[in-house]
Amino acid sequence: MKRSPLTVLAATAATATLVLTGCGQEGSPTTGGAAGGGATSGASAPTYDVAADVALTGSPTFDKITSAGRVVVGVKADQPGLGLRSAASGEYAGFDIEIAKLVAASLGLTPDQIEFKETVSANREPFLQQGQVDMVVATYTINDKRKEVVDFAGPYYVAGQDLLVRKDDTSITGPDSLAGKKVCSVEGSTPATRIETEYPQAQLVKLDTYSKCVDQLTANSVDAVTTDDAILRGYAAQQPDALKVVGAPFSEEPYGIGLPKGDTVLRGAVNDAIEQAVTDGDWKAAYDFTLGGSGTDPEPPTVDRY
Amino acid sequence: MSSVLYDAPGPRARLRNRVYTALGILLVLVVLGAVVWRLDFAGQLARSKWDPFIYQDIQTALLRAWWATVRVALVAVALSLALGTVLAVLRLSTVRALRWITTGLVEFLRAPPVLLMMFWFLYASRGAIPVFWCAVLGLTLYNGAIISEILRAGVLAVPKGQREAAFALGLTSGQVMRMVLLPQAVRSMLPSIVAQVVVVLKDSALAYIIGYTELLRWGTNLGTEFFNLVPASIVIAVVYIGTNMVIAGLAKLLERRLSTTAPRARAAAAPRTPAQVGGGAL
Amino acid sequence: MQVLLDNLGTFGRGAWGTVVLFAWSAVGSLVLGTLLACLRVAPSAAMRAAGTAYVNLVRNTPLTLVMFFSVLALPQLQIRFGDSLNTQFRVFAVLALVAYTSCFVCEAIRSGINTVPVGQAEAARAIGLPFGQVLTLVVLPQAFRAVVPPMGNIFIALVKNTSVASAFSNYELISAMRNLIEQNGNAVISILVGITAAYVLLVAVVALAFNRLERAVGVPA
Repeated sequence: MKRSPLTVLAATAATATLVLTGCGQEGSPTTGGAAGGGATSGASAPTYDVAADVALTGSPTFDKITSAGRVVVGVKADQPGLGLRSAASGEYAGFDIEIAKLVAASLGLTPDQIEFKETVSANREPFLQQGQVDMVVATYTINDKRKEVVDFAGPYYVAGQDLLVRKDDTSITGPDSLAGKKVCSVEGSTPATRIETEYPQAQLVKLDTYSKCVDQLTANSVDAVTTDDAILRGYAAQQPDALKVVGAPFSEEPYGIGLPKGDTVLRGAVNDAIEQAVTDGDWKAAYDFTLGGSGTDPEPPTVDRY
Repeated sequence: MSSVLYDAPGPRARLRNRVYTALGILLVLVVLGAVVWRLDFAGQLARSKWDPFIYQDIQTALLRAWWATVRVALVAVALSLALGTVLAVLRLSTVRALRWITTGLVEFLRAPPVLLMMFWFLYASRGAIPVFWCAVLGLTLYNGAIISEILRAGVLAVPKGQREAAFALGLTSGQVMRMVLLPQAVRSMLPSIVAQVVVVLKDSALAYIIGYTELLRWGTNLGTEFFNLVPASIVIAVVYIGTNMVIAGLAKLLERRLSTTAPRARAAAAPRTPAQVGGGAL
Repeated sequence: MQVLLDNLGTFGRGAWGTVVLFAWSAVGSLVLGTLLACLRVAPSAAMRAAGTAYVNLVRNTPLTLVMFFSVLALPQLQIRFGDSLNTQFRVFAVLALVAYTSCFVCEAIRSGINTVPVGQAEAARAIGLPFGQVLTLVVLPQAFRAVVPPMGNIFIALVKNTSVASAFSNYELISAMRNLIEQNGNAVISILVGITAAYVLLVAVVALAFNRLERAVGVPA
């Protein structure tokens, strides 16, 4: 019973070293499904033409970007298909990431001049207000209260609340068939509130991340996961044999690019970039490469220059 | 002192103890077996769910994530010790107003959850403070208050004669505190202080909510990437438990070093219990 | 402050959630903590080892992970409570809080046992009481009196630890805060002030209760 602390220490240290150095297979594991993009959709990584001699007069943010020689973009790190950071390499991948790359290209910046910074729902506004990031591309729904503190370019994607179910489940066809079903969403999120108020006959489970919801879904502990279809598509693309998106959106969530408040010049330029990408096919390439694995072909959005 | 709670076991008691032991072991085995069986049934033990962890890139990344956690904890512990010492000294001051203000401050700092304090730094500064420092400061305010309470209890526990003797030597009250009382308080309260270090390390996990990627966050992200949330959480839990046990082990070594009691007296006091740990260790 | 007045319902529901989680977990961890303390001083080495192992494992794991295992593993082990999902998740959260907090309760009681003069236990044994009775009739009642202050700290921490349950389908103060922030991104500071005040109030009530208790039954220093 009485072991000296030294022995315990030595044993622990030895185990740790063994685990960390002794028996490691070289390299990185391959990501399951299309989390990083491309794996199931078969598309190759798109590249975007970097514009030359971009000049935006009267944009403080752009001045900051040019003098620093890089742009800092706030993105999600835990949303497969949209913004996911690889556990091994720390590289980001997903639709939001591609959008950031194509916007950066139109501002004259190459992909390696982009610094991705993880933002979570709690810190998107503070980061933009304080200039910790130059723009936010992070499943960021445009709404009026947020417009009071930040500016939005876009939308670059019009998401809608939808349902993710197990592949063999035919009983759930839309929000009206949720009576008595267990539905999972994220605490404090708009989709969760909508289910609570508009579809109270569903049993709502609220966890802190969608990943935990998806885990509950595959473990048969809940029957559906609900949030914006783009996020659900990311999970469906990851496990196409186990999960599917119902495909009957019942809300409209325009995803915008968050910009520092008051920088109208930059907002105009980013809006131009999105329109350009929709016309020349870059937008479609970005989508196919990342969320395409979920088997859908959405309409490109129309930019709203408010 | 647990040994004084029961008589030295006779033949019947020994037999009974053996039966209890066997039953206990059986129970533990049954519970463990059930857990493993259900996990296996749910496919959580499948090779593919554990495979990512055998790659070196993942292992080095795990080490980096571990360091991110330890770094927050180290800085927060250092600052908490400083803040705790200041608060403790102020609260023991002879000036009544100072005592009252500090008492109020300490009571206030103990109340809100650490997560809420991190939110405060993030939002009140409108993001000017990087998330790393939001996390550190949130942890520091709370744990500084707790450590000040521990130190104060330690100072109060120093025999009265020590203080009187120091004053008699002509030391100023600052010198008495610095040279006589605090060193003894730190030594006697070491177990409680170390327990608080473990708390800081665990609480640093809260920083993921404000966007700082540490061990727990890295683990759940990995679980998202390879949809192996349960195995990833098990691995992360093992790393936390291991780290905290190493800290506890180091503390015991340190305690032994600093202890002034003769080894014989220590042996007599065994089995030892961290008597003061109950203090603020959560 | 307008945002708080407009959302008093959300706010109150959150505070009530915190109180309910706290009350159940407090009772549960007191019971389990005492049992664990008994295990840790028991005559059988296996019992002591089991108690020690449990405390060391659970105490060193972040509460978030303890709760994650509770929420994720229990349904997989076919353990369910009630039909309503809300009840189920509440029970999962309370179980996790009990599992975690009882480690600290156990350690506090164990140190309390150490403060009981050795003569007490020896006298109890001398009149022929077996281990169980020595503990329950003589030692534990005195130990409890000695540990009122540390127990107060543990329960204050428990009030705040209930906030972790917000990540696992339990509505309490932090959930209320997240809801309010999501819908009122322009009034964050007022929301934070309100939530902080609520916690300060709850903690003050618990602290006061323990002060009273200490005065009533505590061992004078």
